[in-house]
Amino acid sequence: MRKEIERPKRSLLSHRVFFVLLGLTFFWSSAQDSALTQGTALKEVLLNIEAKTGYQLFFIEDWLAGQRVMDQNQEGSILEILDAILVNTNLNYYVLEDEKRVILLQNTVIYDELPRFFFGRPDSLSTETIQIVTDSRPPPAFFVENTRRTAREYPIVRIGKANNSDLRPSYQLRGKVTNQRNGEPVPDLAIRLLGSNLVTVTDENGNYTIELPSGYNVISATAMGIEDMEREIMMYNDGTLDLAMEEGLQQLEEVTVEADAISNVQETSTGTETIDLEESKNIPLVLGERDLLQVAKALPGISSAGEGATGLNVRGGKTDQNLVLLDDAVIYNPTHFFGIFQALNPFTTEGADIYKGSVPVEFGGRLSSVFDIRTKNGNVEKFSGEGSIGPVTGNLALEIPVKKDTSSLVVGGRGAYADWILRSLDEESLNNSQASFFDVIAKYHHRFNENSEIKGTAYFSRDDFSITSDSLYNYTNRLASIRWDHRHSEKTVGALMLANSDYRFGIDFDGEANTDFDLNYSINETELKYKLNTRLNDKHSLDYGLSAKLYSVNPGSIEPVGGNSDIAPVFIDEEQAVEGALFVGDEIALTDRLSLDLGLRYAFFAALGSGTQRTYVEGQPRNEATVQDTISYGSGEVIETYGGPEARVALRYLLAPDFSVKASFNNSYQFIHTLTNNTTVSPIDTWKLSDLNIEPQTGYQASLGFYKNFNDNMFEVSLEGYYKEMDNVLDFKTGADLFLNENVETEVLQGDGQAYGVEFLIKKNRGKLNGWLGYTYARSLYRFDSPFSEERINGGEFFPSNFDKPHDVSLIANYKLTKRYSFSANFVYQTGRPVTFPIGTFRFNNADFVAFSDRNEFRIPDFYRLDLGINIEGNHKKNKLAHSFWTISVYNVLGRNNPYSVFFVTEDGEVRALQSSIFAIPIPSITYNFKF
Amino acid sequence: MKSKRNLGFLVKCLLVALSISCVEEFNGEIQVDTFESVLVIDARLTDQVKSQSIYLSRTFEFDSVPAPERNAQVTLVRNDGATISFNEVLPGMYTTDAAMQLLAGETYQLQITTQDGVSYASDFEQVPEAVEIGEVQTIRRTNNTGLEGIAIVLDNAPNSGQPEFFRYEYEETYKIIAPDFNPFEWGEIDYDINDGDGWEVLTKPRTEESRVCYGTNHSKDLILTSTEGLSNGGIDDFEVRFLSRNNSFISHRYSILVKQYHHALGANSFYETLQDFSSIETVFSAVQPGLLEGNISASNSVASVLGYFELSSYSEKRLFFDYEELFSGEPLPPYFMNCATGAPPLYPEGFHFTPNPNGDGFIIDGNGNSPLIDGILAGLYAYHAENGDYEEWLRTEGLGGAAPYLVKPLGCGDCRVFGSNVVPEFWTE
Repeated sequence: MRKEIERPKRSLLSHRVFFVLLGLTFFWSSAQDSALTQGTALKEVLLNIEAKTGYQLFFIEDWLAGQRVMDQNQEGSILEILDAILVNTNLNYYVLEDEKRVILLQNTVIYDELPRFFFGRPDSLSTETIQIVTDSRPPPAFFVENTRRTAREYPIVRIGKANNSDLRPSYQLRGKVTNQRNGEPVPDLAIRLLGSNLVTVTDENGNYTIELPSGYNVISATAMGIEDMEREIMMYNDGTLDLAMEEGLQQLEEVTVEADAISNVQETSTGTETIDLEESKNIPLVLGERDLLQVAKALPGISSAGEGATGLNVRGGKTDQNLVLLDDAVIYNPTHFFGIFQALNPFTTEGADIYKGSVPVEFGGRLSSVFDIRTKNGNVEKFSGEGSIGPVTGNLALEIPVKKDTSSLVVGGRGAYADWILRSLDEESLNNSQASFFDVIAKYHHRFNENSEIKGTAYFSRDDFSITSDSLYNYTNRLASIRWDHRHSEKTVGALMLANSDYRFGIDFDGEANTDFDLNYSINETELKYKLNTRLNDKHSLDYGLSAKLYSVNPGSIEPVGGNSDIAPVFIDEEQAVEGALFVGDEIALTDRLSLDLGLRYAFFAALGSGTQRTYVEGQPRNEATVQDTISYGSGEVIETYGGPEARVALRYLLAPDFSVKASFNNSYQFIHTLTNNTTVSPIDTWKLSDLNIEPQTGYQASLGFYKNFNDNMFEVSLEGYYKEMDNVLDFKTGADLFLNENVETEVLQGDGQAYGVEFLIKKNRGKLNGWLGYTYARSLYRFDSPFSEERINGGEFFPSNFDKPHDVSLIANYKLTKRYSFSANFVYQTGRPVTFPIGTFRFNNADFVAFSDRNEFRIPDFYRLDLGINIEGNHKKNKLAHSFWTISVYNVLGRNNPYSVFFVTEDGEVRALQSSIFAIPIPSITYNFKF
Repeated sequence: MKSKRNLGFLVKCLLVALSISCVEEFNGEIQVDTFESVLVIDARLTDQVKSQSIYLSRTFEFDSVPAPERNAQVTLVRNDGATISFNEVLPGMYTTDAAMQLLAGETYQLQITTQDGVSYASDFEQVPEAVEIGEVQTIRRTNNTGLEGIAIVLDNAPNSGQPEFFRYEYEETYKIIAPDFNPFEWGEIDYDINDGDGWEVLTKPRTEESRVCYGTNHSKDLILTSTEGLSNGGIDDFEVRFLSRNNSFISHRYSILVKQYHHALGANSFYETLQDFSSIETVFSAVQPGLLEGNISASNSVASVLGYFELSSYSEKRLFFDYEELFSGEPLPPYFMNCATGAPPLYPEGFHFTPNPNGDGFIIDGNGNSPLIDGILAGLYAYHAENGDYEEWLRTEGLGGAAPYLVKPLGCGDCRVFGSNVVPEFWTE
């Protein structure tokens, strides 16, 4: 049987095989780019060889297209010459010496022997050397057209050049997956070998490695928000296949909260939510504004005091207990217009991770939650943009590539035209009102290489509003951050961040009397943070780092305006402080089923001079009469230090691959507090740093939950319970004056809080109908007790907070009728919030007033609201200038007049019970979105 | 605090922009299960030499009336132990028998024992220094809610070098001239059908002044200000009253007596908090109300008590102005009411009566009341003129629907509806 033929010579295989662009959506990368433009065409070289050697060469010209040879002056046998010139190609050759023919082969080799035992077991052993070769040698890979299993969207990919001396049953395929639209790496993409259990997931840089059997394979690549891809691959040797994925159009329509389907079960942390803003765009929201914070409120455990209330209450915590970060910088007031609109540009915002249970060890400084909001990286490939025109705001975001595949800039701007609407209204009393806001953001990111990337964000927002013609209020957020991500080694990645945030508000009062003034408040903080992650081994992944923050607060100043004003200028001393933390955490995979997150964070705070602080007589209520001493501190002198260790512990046990139970415990310190004596947050609330008399808030939370996915992760169900205690939370004496008060500690009460609840969530992630249903039972109680009646609230007993709403049901549903039309609905039911109700009326100086006693003993009527929306995608014609998207929605379809507050006023000496409501009637809106 | 005060303007609809946020009457049921009967003490004494009064009542439920606190022992104790007692002269009103004067520099305590045996005592309070009220004047301007009108503003100059706190009240008196005054008014009325001559309304010449009257109105708002945060130590152009140019009060001649009470910081804080609890700042945020603590507490019980024992030094000033001075040649504000002319029939439409078969008077068919006479008896109509169409109507249509007189709403022809026809003692033209 055996013919005397030359065994094909080995050509040197390179992992980076030179490639022809095979399809629109993937390409081979090559180290030999320069060969494209230099040297002689391969075909010419081969014809040359034919002429020189007398061998006839057989090949298909297509194989040679574009291939060039650098050095064609090879000497030696035909084998040596061919080895040399084909070294960098995917071509093999087979020499039929007798016929003086050379057959070129793409990728494959000629099997010049039949597979072993083709004719049954031989009676005698073959030579040892051959046996070794054939032993590991897989059967040849046959490829017949009609065996192809996928629609022929993509041509078949041939990987590697078979090497007869290195034939193995499987080869390694590696590569990088990027988003075709913007060149971003696609992490968490699952690559599966169809018909087997083989699966791999791309890492955060989009890289993957998978062992595939030699020969014909079909792999599928799936990820959230990414169009599924199936590829046929012929494996001839180890090789690289980079995939450029398209964003999944059908996925865009779905509301998806979790990035990856199974992570809710497998993650160790509890109480974590992820919102992808793009994917939640169908949820009908008031006035057609996409709003991440409103979506967050539809999740269990996150609520606010009412519709249009600024500030979120997470798991019974106060509104000042949330750390809201925009690209690593704190954003003190992420809302516009009394909390009705978010101050984040929906088109530049990618999404947010919300931690309401186990907060990662790198974050700290707030008791209740962390909102880690990220801005998109810009498209590095081509210029693109997105915009919308709604009834209240206009919005435009642009993605501008600066250097192809390397860097880009995102800029976004939003403005409200409510001012114009106000003025055009035919209501005399409103002609002097105005309200306007805008926000702008820019983000630049630059990728130096695979191991290093830098991002910078700058953001500014401003609100102006006036209710009467003589006073103009404004508040602004300004922040800037820069972040450098780098890979130190195979196992260690780091991120260095520098962020500065500034929040300020002012009131310009220009009245008729001698009291014109300009009033200001500001807080500024700068944070430097360095965090590292080291994957020690399969079992340990360490997070560690440190952060330092410098605060500077102008607690208030008032200055006269105009020559006629007799306002005496007042400048309350600036407050300074440093806050620092050292943290280390270990994510330990104890067994396949059991994983443990152990984290320790040491938080430190020092209030610094210059400044003066009072001391008060021990065992007496703090007031002017009990001042003991006034201490002055020099610049930079330490007034008081606070701090302590914080534990972050979470445990996960997989009862089944899609069913887990988790528990967590964490405690935390908070050194900064808001001062407010309103029932809900107002834009002119101030932040106060802890000092000699005001201690930091502390809290701990324990939670336990069960997580189960059904039906191939189509359904996610979770049930989570928590118990939380807080100490030293702030409240105020009745009728306290907080602003421009140099001794605010005489008005402050510090007490404790407790919150507990059970959160149930069921989500359907896929299908024509998708969305979620959440139910929360939660209580939030506070207690302010003291031996002195003036420092007690409700007799020192626990009382429900302003946002204590035991029952909370949220339903969000989308139904996709066709590719272009979808319907969405949003239903909310909540127990009415507690309000302080009068115990009676009294007559005083010819007028009637109401008298109050205990706080929050009454509840306003329950809240419910249904919103409906229709989303219409423009057609998908390729040559259209812009891709458009219409959202038509009706907020509060049922027209339910949900009271926001119930209160009592004395007008003309008579008491009137009033209720305020924010959106008492159905609010239709239409928004036009476009994308180009 | 000054700045704080300016934040507190009442807003009807803030998200006005879209007229979707609103404040309206609360229609839900206000059921206060926790109603507490708390003693309310209205004790505001001044340094004036006069008989002074203290008012005691109990908190009351909504839609109910104040309940005076009767039979209490009310005593004012000076720091040297001297006492002045107050006696109940009207239910809940306790007055000194004779004129009294609080002495500057002395401190006083209010002691009350109610009939249920609970004793209350205030802190010792001092009478503040006298501060003369400065110039009171009018300024024509547009106020901060966009209304045009007259602001009554005042100055003062305590110049103590300390923040001083003031509360104001006012008493305004305004001349009313009935626009449809007629020298005749209703005379004898015959509303007896059985006397054989039908119904009849006569007129007669007026004998009492009813063209020019004087109306009086007392302030009900808490009007507070201070010199806190002001560099010159005095109040300048503080607005105590704003009258829209459409306010009928200023149609002719107007007078305002501005009363200044110079009180202490504690009293000011108490009233400010009370004011915060009783007004809206913005739709979106409301001040957290709670138990309002004053300077009075129960000494032998845990009972709550409402009120503040306020001692003040008093000063007042009166101002007059005419509409013509400020709005020369401009149209008058609308009158208090719409003065449309009416012609109510003496006999209703379709009026019909027949003699009683038993010979005793007449029987009226249908709705048999006289619209004119009923209206006059109810005080709705003032005589305006004879109806020129009356005879014609009687001839063509008959009795039913015939109106002998043209009438105006009573207030249009008789100013006594809105005020008193007695010229106040202080009034000067």
